[in-house]
Amino acid sequence: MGIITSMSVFWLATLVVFVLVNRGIWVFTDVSKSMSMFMLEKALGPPIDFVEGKRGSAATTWIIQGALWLIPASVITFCGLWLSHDPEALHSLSSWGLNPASSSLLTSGFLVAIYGSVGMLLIGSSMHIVPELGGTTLATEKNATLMSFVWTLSVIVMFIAANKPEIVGIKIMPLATLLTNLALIAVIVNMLLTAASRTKKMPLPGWMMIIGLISAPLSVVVLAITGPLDSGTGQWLVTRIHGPTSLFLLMSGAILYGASRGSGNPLWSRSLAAVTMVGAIFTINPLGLIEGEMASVFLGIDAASFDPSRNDIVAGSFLLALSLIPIIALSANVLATMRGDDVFIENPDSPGMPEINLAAFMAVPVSIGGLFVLTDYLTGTNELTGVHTSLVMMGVWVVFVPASMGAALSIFPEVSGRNVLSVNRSRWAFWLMAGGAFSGLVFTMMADFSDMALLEASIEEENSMSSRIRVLGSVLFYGTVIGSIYHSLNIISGSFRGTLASEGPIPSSTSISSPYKLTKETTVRKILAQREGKLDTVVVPESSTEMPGSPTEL
Amino acid sequence: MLAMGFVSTMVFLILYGILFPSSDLPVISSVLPVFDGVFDSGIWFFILGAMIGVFAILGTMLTEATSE
Repeated sequence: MGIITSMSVFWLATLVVFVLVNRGIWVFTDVSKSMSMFMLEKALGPPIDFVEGKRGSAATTWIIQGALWLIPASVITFCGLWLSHDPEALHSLSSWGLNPASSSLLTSGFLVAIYGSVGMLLIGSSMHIVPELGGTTLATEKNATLMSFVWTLSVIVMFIAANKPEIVGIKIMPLATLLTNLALIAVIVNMLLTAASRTKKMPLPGWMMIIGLISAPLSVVVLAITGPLDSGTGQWLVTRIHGPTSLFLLMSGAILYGASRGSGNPLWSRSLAAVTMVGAIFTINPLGLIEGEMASVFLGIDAASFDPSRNDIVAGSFLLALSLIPIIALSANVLATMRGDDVFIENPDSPGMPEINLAAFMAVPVSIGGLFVLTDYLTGTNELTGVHTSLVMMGVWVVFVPASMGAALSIFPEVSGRNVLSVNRSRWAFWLMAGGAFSGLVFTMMADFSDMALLEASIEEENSMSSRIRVLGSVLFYGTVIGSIYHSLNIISGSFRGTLASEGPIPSSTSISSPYKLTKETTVRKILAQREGKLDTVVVPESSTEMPGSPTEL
Repeated sequence: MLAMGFVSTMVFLILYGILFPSSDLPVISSVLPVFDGVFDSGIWFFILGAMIGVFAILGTMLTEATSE
């Protein structure tokens, strides 16, 4: 079965799921709701009582764990980058039976960053965003909190599997897949129950997050049923939909909400949000790994050779190129939302806003790079695959990580009830992470290009220039490690003794609240464009007081 | 207190060197060979920095959770 046929089945399945979520499943809706709720809480027995069900506790737990996963992810990636120019640097670990290599460390760093950090931050954000947009509460905070620990366990297993695929003859990665899906299915059911109890029409960012979560397992099921999962093309396709498409939808929902909430501006364009959602489903996202081998590793099946037909190449290239439309739509929408009606970002110092700005800004060039490399791979030319690893890491560290971190930081005060400890530390963390990742990976990419040029010229001598540039790249990437430690410290300290969110300063004059607090001039259109802006919205000057005035004493 | 501890450590080390010349330090001389070959690459200094950061987070969590 070709790419276009498999994609058609996926589109149809997504449409069916969307309709079912909206309309319910006929007379079985109530039965399925109560049964799902029972499975999520009471059926789990005593373990469910280990966690608290306070409002916001699930989102806080997922976000804190996601932030903590940033540290191992950045350290492992840093070690991988270092070993690419100094393969013997960690040879002393061999006395403990460990023989880390650059490639295995970069792969495990990628997995820990995507599943541990990005995945947990985005799922944590969705646990606040979906109920908030639906005007309801999360169906079960307890189950969601408990599942965060299952997810963390799965990331640990995934890290072990990436470095030691088999232990006593047993493949480890399928075990990680099992644990991840166990937690993911519980989260999806939780989200569906939450969506079912919505009290108002849910805006698009909420649907993006729900469909993003569902599309991951849905793609595997669709390709398993239709057959091509054991072929190279099928494995390539499932790697593309399961990872980048699913994460892109989750990320889009999170940063659209985060940009609007953090800046206090209404979403710039609902049409562009719709283009982002529909476009992400109907195209093939160019971010992420180019090969399909990872799918076979995760599913524990044999890797098939990638041998696409001519039709597959044409259809794949076409859908890859089309994917730039939703990506540009997202980028434009987020940047315009953050800027409001002038050229400046609202609340540039607010934690999370610089990260969202960076992610929205970098999504387009990194995607264009990914499109070139993927098309090159799809057509079998393989002239650009030398920069593939650097480009994938750039997508992770300057698009997905900042986006998920930014969204999580912008909603953190609402979910935890406290602000992060220090805005200044948050700013430092951003510059260290963004500067370290961008400069470090750009230098690494330069070294990749240098190696590719020498390989093409068939020069067999060692490329000392490339090695020197790699040293610089890995040292600069260390900024990301320090930045992630700063972010984690800031979040953890903030959750204990950060200023109370209720006492904190109002983010901007155009914050979404009722009554509408006016601190500077604005327009009626802007007030009406707010979510709660109505004709009878009360506008109060922020500095108003009930104290009687008195003459100034001279 | 720290200065006092540092000065007394130096005094004891110098005294040990005078009283037992050409003798290895007890305990420390047995522990150090374990780390042979560990710091032969610059990467370990970076890893040390990350470890300090991780312990700072653990310390923060412990102190924040136990403080009133």
